[in-house]
Amino acid sequence: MLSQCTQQWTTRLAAAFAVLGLSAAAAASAAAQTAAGEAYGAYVQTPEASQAKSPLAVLPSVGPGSGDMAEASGEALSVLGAFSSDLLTSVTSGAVGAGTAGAQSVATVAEVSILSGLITASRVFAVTSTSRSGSTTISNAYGSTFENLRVSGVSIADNVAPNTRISLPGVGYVVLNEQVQHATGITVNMIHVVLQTVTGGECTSLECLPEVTATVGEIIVGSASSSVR
Amino acid sequence: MRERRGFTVAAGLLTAAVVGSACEQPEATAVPDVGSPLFWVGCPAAKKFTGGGRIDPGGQKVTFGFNIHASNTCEPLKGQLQVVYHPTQSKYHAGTTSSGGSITSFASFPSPEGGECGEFRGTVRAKHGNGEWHTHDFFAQACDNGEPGSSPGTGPDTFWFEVSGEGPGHGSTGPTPLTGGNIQAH
Repeated sequence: MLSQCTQQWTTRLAAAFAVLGLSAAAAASAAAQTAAGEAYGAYVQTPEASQAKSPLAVLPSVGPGSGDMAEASGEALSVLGAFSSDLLTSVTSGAVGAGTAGAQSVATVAEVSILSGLITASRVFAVTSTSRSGSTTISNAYGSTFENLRVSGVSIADNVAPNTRISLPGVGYVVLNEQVQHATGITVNMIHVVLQTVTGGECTSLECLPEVTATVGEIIVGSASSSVR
Repeated sequence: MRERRGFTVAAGLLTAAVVGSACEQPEATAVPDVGSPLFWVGCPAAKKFTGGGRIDPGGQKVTFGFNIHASNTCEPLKGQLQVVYHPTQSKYHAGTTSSGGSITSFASFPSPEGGECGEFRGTVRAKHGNGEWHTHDFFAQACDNGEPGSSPGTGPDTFWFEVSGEGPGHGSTGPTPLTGGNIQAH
């Protein structure tokens, strides 16, 4: 039979372990479990042509205590009438540690020409980073930029503001430095062209048909994303 | 004594910023002198480093990504590296399992900025523009000095890549603050 003193210590130790167990469980629930990342140079989907994400780097499954990296590159890429470029590179890496986790992705494209020169750039850089420490997640797209970007013949600043939208008459519009933040990470598409058609609008003596704008395709150049869950 | 080995490097990419201070550290496991420009012996700091992003040494853009995991005896167990020097469209690849490029040694140490640094070296497969693939010796150092975004455009993390050889696409970036991306020590 245990003495009263021993029983008291046993009770105290059990309580202490219970508290430690709860703390560990709470910490585990707050700790990141997976890191994810993706980067690619170009994606084209138009009525006339298509190109899957290329060169595509997707971070393999990264769980607690592990890290990994994926990379891809291409010497050049051409999609008739829609897109052409020189060197394209993609890389993504990430890891999940005991108290921190992170993922980062980079896509670069050189000598870009979109829609037969409607949009050109010497270089495009898409960079994202997501890190998590405890329950705090930080994401940004610092390092994303252009060199010698021109849209419809107009020079655009390298550090164009995020989500800058420019109309492309007869074509649709383009979003430059498109940044999509979400709870677990970020995606940046440096050039996102949305192709549109407009139907209707014709008038008779009785009425005018409403104009209907429809999206018929898109072109994305320089895309990087990273997240931690 | 742990020592940080050093020699002056040729600057093909840009002028190397050689760190010449803090050359003496505590004792650690001895490894062969493999001729690294700056190489710490042993790995008293983290043994897993992951990173990626962009640096602008000398105003030129370099992008990179890597992941390396070393054993308790500093043996590289798993690793990959991609570096692109954009002015010459030079690509560099290395891995612990890739053919033609390999990561053969690793070391880590406390960063002077309060974080942790990892160094690794070996051979990279390299291609400059439309040239042929070939190999070079390389050295890389990555320092985790804080969270990304805490000082955008100026780090706080740093990356350093150096590749042997002469002419454009060779030389050293020197330790350069990240313009974007992140380095993480685990």
